[in-house]
Amino acid sequence: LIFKKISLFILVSIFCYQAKASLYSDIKNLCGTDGPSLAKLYKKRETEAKSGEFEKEVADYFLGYVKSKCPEGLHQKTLAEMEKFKIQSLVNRQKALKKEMARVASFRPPLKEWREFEELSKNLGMNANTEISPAEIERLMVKGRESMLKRKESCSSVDNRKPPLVEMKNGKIVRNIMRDQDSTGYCSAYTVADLFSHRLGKSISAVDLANTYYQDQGADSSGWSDFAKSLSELSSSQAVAVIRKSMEKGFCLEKDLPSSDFKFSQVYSSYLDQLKSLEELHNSYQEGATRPGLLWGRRKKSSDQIEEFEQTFKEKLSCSSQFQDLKALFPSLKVEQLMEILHQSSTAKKVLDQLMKFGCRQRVKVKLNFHSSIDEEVKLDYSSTDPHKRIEKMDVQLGRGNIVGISYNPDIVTGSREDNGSHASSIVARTFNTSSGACEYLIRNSWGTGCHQYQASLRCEEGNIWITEEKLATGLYGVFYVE
Amino acid sequence: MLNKIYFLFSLIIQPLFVSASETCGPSQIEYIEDQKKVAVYTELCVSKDERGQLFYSKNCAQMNCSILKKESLKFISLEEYEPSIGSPGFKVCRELGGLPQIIDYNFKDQWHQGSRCIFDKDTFVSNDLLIKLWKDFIIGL
Repeated sequence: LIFKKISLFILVSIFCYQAKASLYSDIKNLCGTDGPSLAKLYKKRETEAKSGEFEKEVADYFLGYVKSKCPEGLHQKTLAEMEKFKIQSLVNRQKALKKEMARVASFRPPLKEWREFEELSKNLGMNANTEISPAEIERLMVKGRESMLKRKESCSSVDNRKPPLVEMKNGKIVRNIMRDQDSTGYCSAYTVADLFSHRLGKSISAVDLANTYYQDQGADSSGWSDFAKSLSELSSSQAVAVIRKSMEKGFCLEKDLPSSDFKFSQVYSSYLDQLKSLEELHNSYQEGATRPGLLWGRRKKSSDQIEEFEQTFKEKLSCSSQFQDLKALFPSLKVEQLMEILHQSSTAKKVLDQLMKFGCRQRVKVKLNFHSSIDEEVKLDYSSTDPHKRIEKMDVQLGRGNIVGISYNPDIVTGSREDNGSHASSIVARTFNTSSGACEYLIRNSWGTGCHQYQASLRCEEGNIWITEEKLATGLYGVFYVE
Repeated sequence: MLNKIYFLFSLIIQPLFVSASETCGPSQIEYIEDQKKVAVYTELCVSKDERGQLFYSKNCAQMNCSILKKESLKFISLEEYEPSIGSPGFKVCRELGGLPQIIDYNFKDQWHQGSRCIFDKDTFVSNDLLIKLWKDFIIGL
């Protein structure tokens, strides 16, 4: 009998899997040019059902699109599938809430979760008290109340924002000065820039920090694509390298090397693309200054030939849009200097190294008031797997008037379920929310002042987002700060 | 029959979202280009919702410009940007064929910070409004 049941279960599972797979490919193939996108959205709805976060309104919207783009029969099939997803999501949400109540009780009473659990059980025709015993609920509430009272004492209100992160009048914050990192991925550079801007009272260039990281990598021209990749993935694990190097050579001010020059948007899709154009420039110079070797490779032309080539190259370069674009990055650069750099540099990386010297001639050296070495001054904590310990470290630094860099999963603020990897921002304030009973932290992000990019349930103030401690704990990978 | 056609037509051309609290007027916009601050004077409209202030060019008043109409809605995939975790507004703007720009704007004697998506010389929309309207059409956010 058991064998028969298992076989039946396997057969039903295979049937269901095939039905879903065929619906996915039908949507993809039969819904015109929007088919592939709709198929991806169908997958998204499926993932939401699995995690218990399927939303009827979103599904209705999706179904409306299926109705207008796909054959009638397919719409009916999708409609039936969405109904299944809805039930599946309710069951999964119920399971998730059970776990969440136990987790949240370490922070506060899981009242909100229990109410939702009760409502959900009712909708599923179940009795909540048979799913979780009243004694267990009582135990979780008592535990939560104890945790909350303890936390309330330590979660005092602090707000460490100060210029240039904000504009102040009569000791009060009147405006947040937010950063926007464009489409580039070097969020850590923006976070480190904020940490040091806060400390120095001057706005530090984030783009310069991203370049500092690159220069520290020692990649040659053949590794340019690796550089592009590493720069877009510049995560907080590399923040330490950036900080160390920048403290050695000094920081560049945002006014000398703006990270948000409109020129970047007009000519390239990002700052990174602009840097990549240097490689093209270097290659065209090298091609003109050399000739093919007898058997392989290239050889330098004679000095007379090079002189003649350089004269023509310089004339063309001075009128080119490429040079004008480079001047957006390196404003003090003259065409003669660029020619000299191209002449001396054997790789594109060396061209960039030299150009950076022109980009920022006056650097701000940091003199921090403590006696330990740089390694101890800048700390990155990935060692602890316990988010509570990281939060404790954050609290210590906030108590000292500092802001703290965090490495975290951005899905906790966007509500996405795409597993978007690691992001970096800074924590600038903390408060205890008496209505929810939770300690909350203010995340200063580098995505501008907009609030619609964040989950609607999160309080957002001009691009700064308040997040509860228990939510932060689910996606907090590490903290870094300057003592 | 004519009634039905009129009804369908009005559905197609209806704006995505019409704000009751819309105010239009002269404004000053500042941005950095070639490391220099550039100031332009133009008319713009602002409207407020539960998440803050949204702004757009005068020709988009009552959400009446083509980019803000339902017919413009299309799926946007941000997957090619992975693993770069950049600002979503910039990505959406570029995918819609616009040019993103970080700005400060002065409206009714108050300075605000924001980012806009420029579609042509007369048309721009705040990136935040784009995210609000396109959220359900974005794949990879």
